[in-house]
Amino acid sequence: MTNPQIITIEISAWDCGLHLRLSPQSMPKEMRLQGGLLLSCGIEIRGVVLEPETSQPRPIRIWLQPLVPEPERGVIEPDDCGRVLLNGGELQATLLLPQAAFQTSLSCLAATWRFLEIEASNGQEGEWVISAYSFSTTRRPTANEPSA
Amino acid sequence: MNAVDGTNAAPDPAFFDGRFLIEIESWSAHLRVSKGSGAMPTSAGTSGALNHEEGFEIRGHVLAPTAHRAKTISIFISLFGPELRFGQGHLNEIGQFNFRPEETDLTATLHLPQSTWPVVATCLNTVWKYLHLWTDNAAGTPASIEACSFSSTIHRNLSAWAGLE
Repeated sequence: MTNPQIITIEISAWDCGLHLRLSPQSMPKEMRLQGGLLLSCGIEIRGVVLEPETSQPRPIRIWLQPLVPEPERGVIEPDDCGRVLLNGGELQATLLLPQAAFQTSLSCLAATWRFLEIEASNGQEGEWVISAYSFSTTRRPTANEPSA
Repeated sequence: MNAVDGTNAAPDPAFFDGRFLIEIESWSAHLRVSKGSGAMPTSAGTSGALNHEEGFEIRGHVLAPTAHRAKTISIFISLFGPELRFGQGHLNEIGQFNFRPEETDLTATLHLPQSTWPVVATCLNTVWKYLHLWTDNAAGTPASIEACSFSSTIHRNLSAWAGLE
């Protein structure tokens, strides 16, 4: 795995979906919410990659996936914070988010966040493994830019 | 975020059975706090000597199915705590929907987990425009609501059904 590279993204839009349904009988009981429900809630972000620079701005779709505790096992600790990959010519990323930070993320996307910075290293099969990510209102100056 | 990418295969003929699409026009949230009785056990919605009830009311109009298009609708959302059980032998619906053909003002009740309250409030205020309801398609009313979904866009597959083409 290579040294982490910084990917800076300007957020252009975001969305949040919520879906609640009665769980199918075939679903294992330990996966159901309160005995018989299936709840899914996630955030989708669309943005443009600012860094590393390319000749044309490159769009990216990002999914913020909350780490929901499983009834029997609690939260399964992942080995990384998510992945970046090229899927059918489209740059996509999945970011794992602690459940406790979900509401904060939603409120700040609605109010103030404009940039996302991802630290990722080249992994296997063309995927980039994310070791850290952060949201901000202003863009951090690059090495070539004076700080404001 | 208005563009919805991608199309899927043609939906199954039963794909739309019992399904409703509602365009949200306005919403409000309510919070009621009252002094609890000493006999009430402490549970979700109870904080020491105070009780609180939270909920939402959504107003909108039906986009689909065609038989109910343009009818106004009020949806009353209540929030349930972690003690409520669903499934066999327990509650087997997440709401009820009255949609008699002769009615022009429809009403529905919807139950959501209490933990979703901040998400619902934030997203109703910012991105959500549509509510999808799946009922058990019962001939009589009220019908049971088996699933619901909020979204900011309508998938391309649903445009014709929603009367947007």
